Formats: sequence, structure tokens, C-alpha cells
Amino acid sequence: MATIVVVGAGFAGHTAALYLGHHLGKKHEVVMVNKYDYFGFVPSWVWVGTGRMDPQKTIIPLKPVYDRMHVRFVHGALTEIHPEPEEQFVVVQKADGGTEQVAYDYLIIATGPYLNFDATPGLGPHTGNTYSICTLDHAIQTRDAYLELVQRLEKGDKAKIVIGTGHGTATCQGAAFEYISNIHKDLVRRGLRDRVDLVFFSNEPALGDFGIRGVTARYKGQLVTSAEFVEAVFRDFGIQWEIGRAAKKIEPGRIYWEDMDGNFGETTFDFAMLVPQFKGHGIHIAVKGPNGEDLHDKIFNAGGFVIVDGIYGLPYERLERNPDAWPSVYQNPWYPNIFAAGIAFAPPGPISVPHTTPNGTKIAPAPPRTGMISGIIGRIVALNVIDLVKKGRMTHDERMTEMFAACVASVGDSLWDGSAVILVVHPVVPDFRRYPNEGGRDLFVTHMEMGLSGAWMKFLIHHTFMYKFKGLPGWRIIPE
Amino acid sequence: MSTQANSPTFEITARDKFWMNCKLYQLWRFILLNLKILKAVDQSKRS
Repeated sequence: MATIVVVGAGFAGHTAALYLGHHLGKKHEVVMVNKYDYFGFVPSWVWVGTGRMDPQKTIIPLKPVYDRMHVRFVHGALTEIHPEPEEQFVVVQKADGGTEQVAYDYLIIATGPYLNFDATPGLGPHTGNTYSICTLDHAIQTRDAYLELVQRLEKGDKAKIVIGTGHGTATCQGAAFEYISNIHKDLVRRGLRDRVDLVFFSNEPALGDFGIRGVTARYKGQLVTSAEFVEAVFRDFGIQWEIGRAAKKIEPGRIYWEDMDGNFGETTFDFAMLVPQFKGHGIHIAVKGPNGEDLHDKIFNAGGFVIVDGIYGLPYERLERNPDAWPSVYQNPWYPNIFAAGIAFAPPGPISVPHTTPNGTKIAPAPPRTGMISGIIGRIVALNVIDLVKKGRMTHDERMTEMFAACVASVGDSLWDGSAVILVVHPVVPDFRRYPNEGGRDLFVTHMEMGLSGAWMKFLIHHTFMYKFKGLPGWRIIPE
Repeated sequence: MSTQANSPTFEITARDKFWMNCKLYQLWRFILLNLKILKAVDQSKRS
């Protein structure tokens, strides 16, 4: 009997646990370790953050799902990995205060991002300066602050709202884009839009970059870039933008930034939601050998992300021309029974063109590995572990340079007059060898549009995915 | 670099907005998009 331990019940880990439980749960032991006892549907937290969705509608208690799927649930956080063949176990700091050693034959690390607010002094909800929608608690806190601001606006006040990224190497610009679009729509609905200046503040080199080097797609018969498309949307919504900026320091009501030319400046705000830099949770996890030796560098890189089967260290000019540098099976090269999925795996480099200012500040959006990408990687890793347990060899692989992804960024939540921007990309990471066009993507599949159908799509995604993640009958036919 | 381009190359027109909220057209787009996504998922390396 094999024991498979999955750490982290986000999109990647929870997807992996569902597949593992379904295929192996009855004959083998599948263990999920997660620091929360619920799964959170992160894409809907933009609606929580504007007060348009009850937080309870975005979470699923994990224990009943795992009981049904034959997965043992351990409520706690991973603190140590002992990966050497003679003693393979992890140490979990349990939520009830104790610790537990869990032995494994296969380990899947899907711990998601560590929100590194400290990389930007003054950033984050704990400082009271800026807000975040990256966790459910943060989204609720942001909602309360936003609704308080709305009350002031109703009394006649004016305000400046800044939404975007809080670090030069932050990612998740798509979430910031969706949040500012929802704020815009909510203020229009309340009749308060004319009292607010809305500003999108981002480290992207161009609008619509989204950390994936932007998108070029056919729209109404002509080739349009996501930069042109998002610019048109912002122009239509009356949203201003400040891009190519790295937030260096936050003080109450003020962002101190540096731009790509090395100029320094300030942007003021009354309310700000800024996404922090992401690190991997590996920065807090000890990796020890049988004699207590430190093996951290064999599993995690300096950023705390898990080293897998990618080609690391290539300069960007070579990386962008080498699609095979991206990992295909997400397996650690030192310990073949350790895998990573979702944000936890270390990408070989950025997808967007990186930039260093004359002062040495890096302004380079990190590659997004959230949502659909996480789910797909979770499935690939789980199916390979199932293969290894049953057949002794892996049969699944998919690089981000081969992966298809769809992203729906809502503008409000109404099914009658709502809207959404829909981005369909194939592949996620441009492959200029296979698609020798300007964007490095399949122009037949890659698609960009906006309209009410997007709002329906977002509604459909929320409900079908919440169904899937409950592991209810037929969950496997819903694609990741 | 902060940019507020002076000469937009692409704009959302009143005609675009009409189609973006035209229920019948959007139903057609919704069906088409779902088919496109399902086809792309099927053609990707999912196995």
C-alpha cells in the first residue's frame, strides 16, 4: 500500500486530492494536509471584496468532501520535510496545537503563494495602509473598508481609489484588473461613480500584459493586442492607469514608486488594494536529512518555490526561444517522489519581458500559475502519481508552453447587464518555435472579447467549479 | 512608465456596446465560446 501526501488544498492540491482519492483512495492511503479546513474559490473573492457575494458561498468545508473521496484530512501546516530514502516523512504543525509526523511514498507540494507584504514596507492589511483580496479574511476586510468608503461617498465625499500591484515583481494583475472593473461597475450602480477617481497601478510593461507577455488575438476581423483592448476598456470606464511602476514603499494614503526609467514619484490614494509579491511557502519549511543536515536547496529555490524538471538559469533571451525549458511533469530532480503543483512550482523565469531600472530595481511581473493552470497541473501530477503507483511509470505531461487556459474577468455580477472580458490563450507561455507570429500563440484558438456572455460564463464557472470541488457525481467531466 | 496614450488605436464604440449587451447575440457568443473552450480542452494534451 502506498501513501500519497498532498500539501495544500487550493486549486492544484485539491484537484490532485480528488483524482488521487478517486483512483487510489480505497486501496492506498491519500492524505491531505492543509492549514485551513475549507477550500476557497479565489476567483469569486473579487465579488466578496465589493460586498456583492456572501463569503460563505465561496468556500467548501474540506472534511466531508475528503471523507467521501477516501482522503484523510490533516488540519495543519507543513513545517518539515525529511526526503531521504531511509526516512521519508513530513512534520505537520496541527491546528489543534500538536504536531504529527506523516510518512509518505509520494509527496505533492501545492502550498500556493506566501503573500510577501514585507517586500514593500508599509504594504498590506496588517499596516492599515492598503488592502488585499488574496485571502478570504483579506477580502472581507477589504469589503468592510470599501463599504465604509461608499457610505462617505453617499454623504458627498470624493475619493481616489487605486487598485493594482504592490511590488515590482508582483503577479495576479488579472485579479487587480477584475477588482477595479467590479469597483467601477458597483459605483455606477450606486450612482457614485462621478465622485471617484479610479486608478490602475501596475508593474506591467504594458496594459493587458497580465504577466503572460500580453495577448494578440483576432477581434472583429483584425489583430488586436490586449494592451489596445484593455486601454479601450479603461478609456470607456474612465479608469486612469499608471503602469511600469514598482511600488517601493507605502505610507498612509501614499505610494512611493519607481518607474522603468528609474524616475521616482508618488501616487496618493484614499483607498488602495495592492497585490503583494508572491513567494513560495518553502521559505518557512525546513528540509532535513537523517542526521539533521540541511537539504533545503535540493527542494526549494531561494524564493521558496519547489525546483522541478524545468531548465533553470537561462537568460530571458534564450528562455523565450526554448519552450522545453518549462517543466512537463513537475517532478523534483533530486527526489523523484516529490512533485509540485500550482504556484508552488518554480518557473524557469518570467513570461513577460523583464526590466531592470537604472537604479537596479527589477520590474518584472512574475508568471501567473493560478486558476485553470493550477488545476491542470494538479491533475497532471495526480495522474502521474496514480500511474507510478499502478504501473511504475508516468504517462502524462504538459508544459505551460503547451497549455490552454481561459480567463474570465468580470465587470459586475449581474446576469442582465453585467459583462466580462474573456481571454482564451493557447499556449499560456508563448511558443515562438511552433507559432512564429508576433504573439507566439495559436491565433485560431487565442481569443479576446467582452460582453454579457462573459458574465454568464463567470456565473457558470463559479457554480460548476464549486460543484466539481465538492467531488459530487460527475465532477471529473468538468474540465479544470 | 505611466502612459495615457493620446491616440488610441482601438476603441469600444456605441455599436460595440449594443452588441455587448444584446441578449440574443450574447447567447450565441456564449454557446460558441463554450464550444470553443471545450474543443480546445479536448485538443490539448488532456488524457
